[in-house]
Amino acid sequence: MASLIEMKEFKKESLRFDETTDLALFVRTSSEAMDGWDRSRIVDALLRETFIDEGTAEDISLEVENDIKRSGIKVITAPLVREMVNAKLIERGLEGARRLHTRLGVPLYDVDQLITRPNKENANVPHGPEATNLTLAENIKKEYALLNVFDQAVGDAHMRGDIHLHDLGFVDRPYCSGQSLEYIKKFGLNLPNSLATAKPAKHPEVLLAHMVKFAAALQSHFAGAIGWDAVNLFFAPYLRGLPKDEIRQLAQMLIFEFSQQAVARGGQAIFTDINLYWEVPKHFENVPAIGPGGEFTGLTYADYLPEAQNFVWTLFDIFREGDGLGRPFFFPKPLVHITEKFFATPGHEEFLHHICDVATEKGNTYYVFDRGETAKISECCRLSFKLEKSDFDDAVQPWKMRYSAMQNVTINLPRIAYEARGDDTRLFELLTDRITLAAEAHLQKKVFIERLLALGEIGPLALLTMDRDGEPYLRMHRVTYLIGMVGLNELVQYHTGEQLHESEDSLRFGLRVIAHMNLVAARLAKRHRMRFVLEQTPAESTAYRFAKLDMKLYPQAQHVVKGNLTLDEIYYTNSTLFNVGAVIDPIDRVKREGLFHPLIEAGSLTHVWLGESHPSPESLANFVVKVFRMTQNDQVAFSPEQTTCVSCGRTVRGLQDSCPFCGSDKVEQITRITGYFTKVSSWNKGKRGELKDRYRNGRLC
Amino acid sequence: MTVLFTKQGCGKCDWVKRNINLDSISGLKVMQLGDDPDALAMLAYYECVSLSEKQLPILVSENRDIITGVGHIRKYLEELAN
Repeated sequence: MASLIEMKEFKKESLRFDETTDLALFVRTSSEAMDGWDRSRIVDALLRETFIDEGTAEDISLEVENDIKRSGIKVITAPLVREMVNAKLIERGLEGARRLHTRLGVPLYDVDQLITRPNKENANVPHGPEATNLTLAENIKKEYALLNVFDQAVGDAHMRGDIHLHDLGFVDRPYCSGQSLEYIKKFGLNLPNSLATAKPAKHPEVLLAHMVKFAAALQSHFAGAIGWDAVNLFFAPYLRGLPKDEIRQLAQMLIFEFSQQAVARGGQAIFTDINLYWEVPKHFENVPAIGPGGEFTGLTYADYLPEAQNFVWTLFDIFREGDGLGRPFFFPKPLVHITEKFFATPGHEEFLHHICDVATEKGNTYYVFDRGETAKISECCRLSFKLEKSDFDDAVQPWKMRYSAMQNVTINLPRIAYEARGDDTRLFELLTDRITLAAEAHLQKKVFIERLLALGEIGPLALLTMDRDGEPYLRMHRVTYLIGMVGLNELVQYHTGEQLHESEDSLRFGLRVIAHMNLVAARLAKRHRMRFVLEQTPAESTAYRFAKLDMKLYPQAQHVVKGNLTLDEIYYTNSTLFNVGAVIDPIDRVKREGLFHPLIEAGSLTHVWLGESHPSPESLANFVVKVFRMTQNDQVAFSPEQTTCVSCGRTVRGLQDSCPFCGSDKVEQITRITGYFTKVSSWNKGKRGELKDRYRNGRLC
Repeated sequence: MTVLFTKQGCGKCDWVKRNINLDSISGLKVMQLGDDPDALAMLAYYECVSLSEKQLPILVSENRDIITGVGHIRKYLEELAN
């Protein structure tokens, strides 16, 4: 990448300014070499990068050269030369050529800010040199994406804030993925471009090492979360006969490996989700189990229930203890599936009590409700891949069970209400337009990714094209394209005058909006033969970005935007959630928010903010059973707040400004942001505003 | 309000429509699922989305009892009509 470019002056007596070869300009180019001034490079670049004719390119290069000569400039940069050329293109009305000739880069000031200040767009990015590299690369790729992957209509809609294209800085990879340990159990760690190949693991700790390394490799090929299905069950064949202390050690290693920072991309912890079961899911019951060395053990997974249960219990023992300072582990996120079979499996009461104990103490447990015949792999903040008939067929060969979401495009719902001005017909028309635009964005990203995949093993996505089981790792036919939403509550509030929780009419109107989105997405899915599905966008930064943009462009936003306007800590309510500050009985919130969940195939969640309260495991367990039996809610998480003292190392309940033990003000406040735990100090302004507004449920029932 | 959820192409739904004079029952709203967001929203409001994937028609009574099976639905609607 071009950096500083210098122009040096030759000794004056040797200069002949009418001869370009003698022009005393030296330019430090992308290769960081000092090159003599050569006007033909401008011509070459214009011919190579744009579609203008040679004569025009010659003319432009001469004009730029003359401008430089006349200016008497002493120091010049390649970006400056390029911008001078761009100015000439604009003067000629060659806007399209200028776009193609754009130079992507970051202003010096911005780089300085990035290096010295933490990035708060994503609370899971630490501050350090690797994180800075990540942010810089993301910035360049964001620009690239908007200029070269998406068309102008999509790019402009993103820039305006009609929609949000998530993870633009990772445009050259899919969004999230869910996979099976069976892949590495069967095929070992045999990755393209790897310096060494490993055969299938023979020991549990080696399997764990393979899992961690594969997760890191996957993190380099996906923008978001890496989820793993039925982790305790698939480890089980390796655990038979192992003493208790070794299983405990393995559980501890698994959690610490995935929780500690600075292991992969940008110094980030890998956003890891582990799906866990107390029972053996029906679709795995009769599946031949793979054991050490990648060999079938001769038994089925149903035979390994005791080992699977022992392992999942032990994992929660470790979650209960927390890290070295007693803090909750941020990753991996344990997602326990609650099913009918769960309640039919002996020991479920004790296990439910155990995981509720962890939830009330540390908050880690996520409860994923799979009612009826539903089964899914969950991950990210709430994303889920609902299994279909073909997936249940694949379950016989579980290594095939790998799923991906290509991209997430979120729609700014409150803005639609401002533009509709109270007109229902207009509102639904605008909503349809935005969903259609989101689908267009997905089509464009799909084309781009397919272009990269077509490069095969020499391409940047070689890992996703590896075909150890006869089909590419990324199974395009099973990819989903997410359409998210932010601010349903504010749309309804502006359009009807009441928030979602304030009346049955407003709630029903909210359901109409999401039902409309669901049906339009389904219609577009049929038309394009792509899986467009709704997801509750976590919107860690999008809820803030949309609110900021709307406050600038739509004065009416001030009537519904949430947060503290004076402090600029503003936000829209996430996805289909109710106002976080509304005083609502928690079971009522779970039930009413849950009405939306069956319409949102790719995942939903309700938060129960515990604050400083410390409900008993029994009351949490009762609550969870009620949610399963009496609501349609997809997923619930309980979020306590904690403070860790950096000085004395103690962790206490609640968000404290100083340590109640030693008085130190060097404390870290910890709680859940959108779908994972992190330090409050790393949150963006909007989320800090939301934190202040959250209504804490002191009593659960 | 009593709501009857039906769907085009659903044989049991057609049977109910053919054999019961739905127009004569006051306070009954018949909603057809498929492309109608209002029907889908109402279905979600009554917590019947998952149920509708397995069986239709679904009748939601005024006091929000959920009734399935054409026999039960017919009986309920006949009582309502009388």
